[in-house]
Amino acid sequence: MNKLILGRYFPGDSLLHLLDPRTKLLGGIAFIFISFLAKHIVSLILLWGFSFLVMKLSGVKFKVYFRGVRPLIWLILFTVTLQILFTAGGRIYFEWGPITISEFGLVNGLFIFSRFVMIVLVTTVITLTTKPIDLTDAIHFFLKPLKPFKVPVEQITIMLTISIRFIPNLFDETQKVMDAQKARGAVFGEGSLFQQMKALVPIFLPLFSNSLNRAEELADALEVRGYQSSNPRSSFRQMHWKWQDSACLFAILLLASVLIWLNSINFLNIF
Amino acid sequence: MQIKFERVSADYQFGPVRTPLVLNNVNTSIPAGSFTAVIGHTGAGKSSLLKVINGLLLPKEGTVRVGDFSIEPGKGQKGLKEIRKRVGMVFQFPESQLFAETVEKDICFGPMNFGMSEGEAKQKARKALQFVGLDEILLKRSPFALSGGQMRRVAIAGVLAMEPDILVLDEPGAGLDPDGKDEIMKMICSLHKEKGLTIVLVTHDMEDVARFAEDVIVMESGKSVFHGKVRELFNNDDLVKNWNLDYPEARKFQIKLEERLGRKLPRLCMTKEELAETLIEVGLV
Repeated sequence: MNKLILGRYFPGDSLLHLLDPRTKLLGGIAFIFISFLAKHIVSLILLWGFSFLVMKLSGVKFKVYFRGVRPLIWLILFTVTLQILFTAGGRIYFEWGPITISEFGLVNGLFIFSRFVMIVLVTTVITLTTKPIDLTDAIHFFLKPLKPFKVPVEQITIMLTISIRFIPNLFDETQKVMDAQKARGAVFGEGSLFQQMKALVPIFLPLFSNSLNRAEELADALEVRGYQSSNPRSSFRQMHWKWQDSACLFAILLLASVLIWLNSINFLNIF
Repeated sequence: MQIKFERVSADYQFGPVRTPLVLNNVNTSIPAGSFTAVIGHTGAGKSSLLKVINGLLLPKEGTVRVGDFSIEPGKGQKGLKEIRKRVGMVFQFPESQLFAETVEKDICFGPMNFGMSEGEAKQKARKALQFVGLDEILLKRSPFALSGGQMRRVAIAGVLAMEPDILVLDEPGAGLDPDGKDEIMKMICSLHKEKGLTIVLVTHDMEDVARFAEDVIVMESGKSVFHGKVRELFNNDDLVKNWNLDYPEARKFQIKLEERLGRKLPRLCMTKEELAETLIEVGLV
């Protein structure tokens, strides 16, 4: 629980912290798509370069990022192994029944591994440098055009905001209830799987009950203060588009164009 | 059972981030059978001091001794169960730990975790519920159907049913009405007087300290800066001012009165009864 870096905010004043959350959200999504454009080793090197550049710019130590990848490493390795074992084509190094280790398989594996790790790294950069509440503002902004289609944009945003706002409380409360049950002799993480699951009941039941109570209180508090999601609202936090934001989006556009251009020319002719 | 802190330091760790020391070289001991109040400002380390007593927070340096058992860094979770069996802990707002379908099952949770048989635990549950002043009828009810005050009592009963030697409480009266709070405090007091339990009570309320506690520990930025008799503390204006503490109401009144009169009363008054007696004695009433 404490080791998961993804979704945690590191305060700072780097260039990336200054960027508009809309830029970062858009840029992050764009990067995911761009990473699928890489078909050539040069493109891959470019993407790695870009990933390390944004990690450097965030002002957070590289160590922290790789700790963020660690919980996902088995999932990544599993996918890569499947790719390597079941892709055929090119020079074949090893063959046994349906399993082959081929040139294409290895190359494919490298690309998938890179894509996975880079996407995790870049999205981690975004969550580390953006307050969750700013991200919901950005999501609200991008959802706005859906309003004429009767999408409850305001409700979705307030739900997101409230859930994010209460994550730390929920963590604190989990800790408290766990401590209280431990003091009454409960033991966690020991015994058979069934016993371990049973040991969680004294934690989750109080948590659910408390959360439900709190939700009700919160709804009442919103209502007595006249909150109505359908009313037009102004926001305390204003988003400001700066020239750095335009520059950042331009850089991402440039990266995409270079990758598309690299795909269009045939390198084999050069060598 | 005696609780002994030997140069205890501790902090919390959140992922890569470590907090500054929440306990900084605490060196004191709470004698068996005493009633000790722990006071200090928010974030001074009161709750951490409680947690370290039964190993919910492990010391980074130093040793905590509870009776013959000890908690040391690097020793891990070993032996904690024996300590937790003997140290009953009532957290702030303990009603938020209730989980079972019936009050009876919830109270039995602690005793059965520590190896009591079901029959024995049920018997203890009945006794504990009676002790906290609730009717046996409630045993078969759901704890979630009770009122706030009743839930608090059930939660406390759940700790008492373990029959601990030491009872550690973090603001047990917080959020209750004055009567409810008073009853809980009297209950704790009778546990101390009649059953000889060692009580450690974290509180913000100086009335509780004045009325019930014998000793007092003042915590400030993770250090135990004072440990002595309650009277000793409230008799020393410099100490109270130094740590920005509050006086009990009767003592406040006494100080104001002494200022007006220009002379001192013959003794320190911590409770209103004491104050009334003293005033009669010197002929002011």
